[in-house]
Amino acid sequence: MTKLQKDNEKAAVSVTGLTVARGDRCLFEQMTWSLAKGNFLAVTGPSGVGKSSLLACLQGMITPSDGECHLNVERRSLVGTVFQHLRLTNELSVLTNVLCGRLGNYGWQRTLFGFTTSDRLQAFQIITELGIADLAHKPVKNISGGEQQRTAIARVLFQDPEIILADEPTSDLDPALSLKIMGMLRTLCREGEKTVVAVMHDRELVEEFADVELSLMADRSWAIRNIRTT
Amino acid sequence: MKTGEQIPKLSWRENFTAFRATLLLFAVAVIFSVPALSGSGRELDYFSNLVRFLRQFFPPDLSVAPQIMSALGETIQIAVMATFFATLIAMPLALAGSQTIAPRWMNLTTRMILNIIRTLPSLIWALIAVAVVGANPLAGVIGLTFYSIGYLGKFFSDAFESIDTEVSDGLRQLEADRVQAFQFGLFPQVKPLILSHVLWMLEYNIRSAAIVGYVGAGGVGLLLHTYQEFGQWNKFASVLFFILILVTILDLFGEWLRGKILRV
Repeated sequence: MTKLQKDNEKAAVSVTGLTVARGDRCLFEQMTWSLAKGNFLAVTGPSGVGKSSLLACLQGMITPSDGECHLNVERRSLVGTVFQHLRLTNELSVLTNVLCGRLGNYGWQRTLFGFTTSDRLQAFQIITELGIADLAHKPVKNISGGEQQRTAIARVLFQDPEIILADEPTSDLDPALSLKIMGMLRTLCREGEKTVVAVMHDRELVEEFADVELSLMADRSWAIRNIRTT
Repeated sequence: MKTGEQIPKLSWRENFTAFRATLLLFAVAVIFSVPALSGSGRELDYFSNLVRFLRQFFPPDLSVAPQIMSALGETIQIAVMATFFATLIAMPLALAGSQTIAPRWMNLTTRMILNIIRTLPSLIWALIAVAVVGANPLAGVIGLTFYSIGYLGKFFSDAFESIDTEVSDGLRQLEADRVQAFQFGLFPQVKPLILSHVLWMLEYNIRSAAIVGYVGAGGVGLLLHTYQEFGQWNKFASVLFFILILVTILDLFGEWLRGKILRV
């Protein structure tokens, strides 16, 4: 189970005795770690070891076989997610998809006829930073995979959550853009006191941007390594 | 292949596929339906009957064109209003009838209601409406509205069931409420399909509105009925000619517009 509870004494994200299975196969067992606020955790390991399952478990989308996850936030909208399959509304524009990041902040009466000008301006500023301003009014289905990924990242940035869970957030981006996005996430941790848990494959990016690395192994074991002290 | 090796034979049960069983059933049904061809039993010259009847259609009397145009206008108005009301009513029914959105008990109840509505043809709905509100265009609107609700409700709920709910689930993760998840997650995906169905229904209703007039529900059907009653077949032919033109234009335009909508 994933618990959402604000407790200033506790870590931003913690996992206790977590065991996750997919079908009959146990992915990892008795996993226990905690991540302080403002830190960047990179989840690494070969394909199929349960990195995405761990993230889904933190999101509360799958129930673990044993143990629990705790996210130190008051409500779910303070957890932002960059999904592996992005989950953007393909028929809506880039700008509207980004604006959807804050749906949880308003009731439907407020958003039925659209978003406020200040929200639109702020969302546009974020997509400008990510280099997709010229695509603002294009439907997501008409842009490239990398541009869609930047839209998903922009949505999370606009949501302005306390914890960001990202499943391979730069998998479709070129090296320069990957560095830029990771740099933005890193800055959010350092200056904005956000906490990031990201599934990553690129070793160089892990070493350059993450504070902590959680390695999952094919034999169901796992290891935590501090990359830098914050 | 070794010499002397034979291809294994299938048993008769393996040979008796669903397709062959259906063909057999249909053949049996055709044999049992032969009595339907018996006719009146009188010695009639069907062909000369047809020629004599059709000869009365020509030349079509185009002097009634202004009346026909006005009645066709009314037919289109009936169809537009019926499609409009049916779309408004069918939308919430479709949501209730969609397994991906509403609970099971609600799906079953709604789908049953939609099935019952669809069971009655548009002409019967128009007859009921004429009995209630009298012989006027309103009866046509009411009759076709009911008929269209049955179809649009089913089409819409099938559309809602065919889409990917992962997107709206993702929005729910952001604490979007149900209305927001629908507005920004589900509806944009089904919008082209829904528009296409509404357009199809409008085309269908324009054709139907020409018929429901026959039972007094207004529109060009009323004109058809009058000319038939008085045996004015050349005027009747003019009405058919105008309906043919309207339906052809509608078909071409509808196909073009649906293509545009679904490609967007």
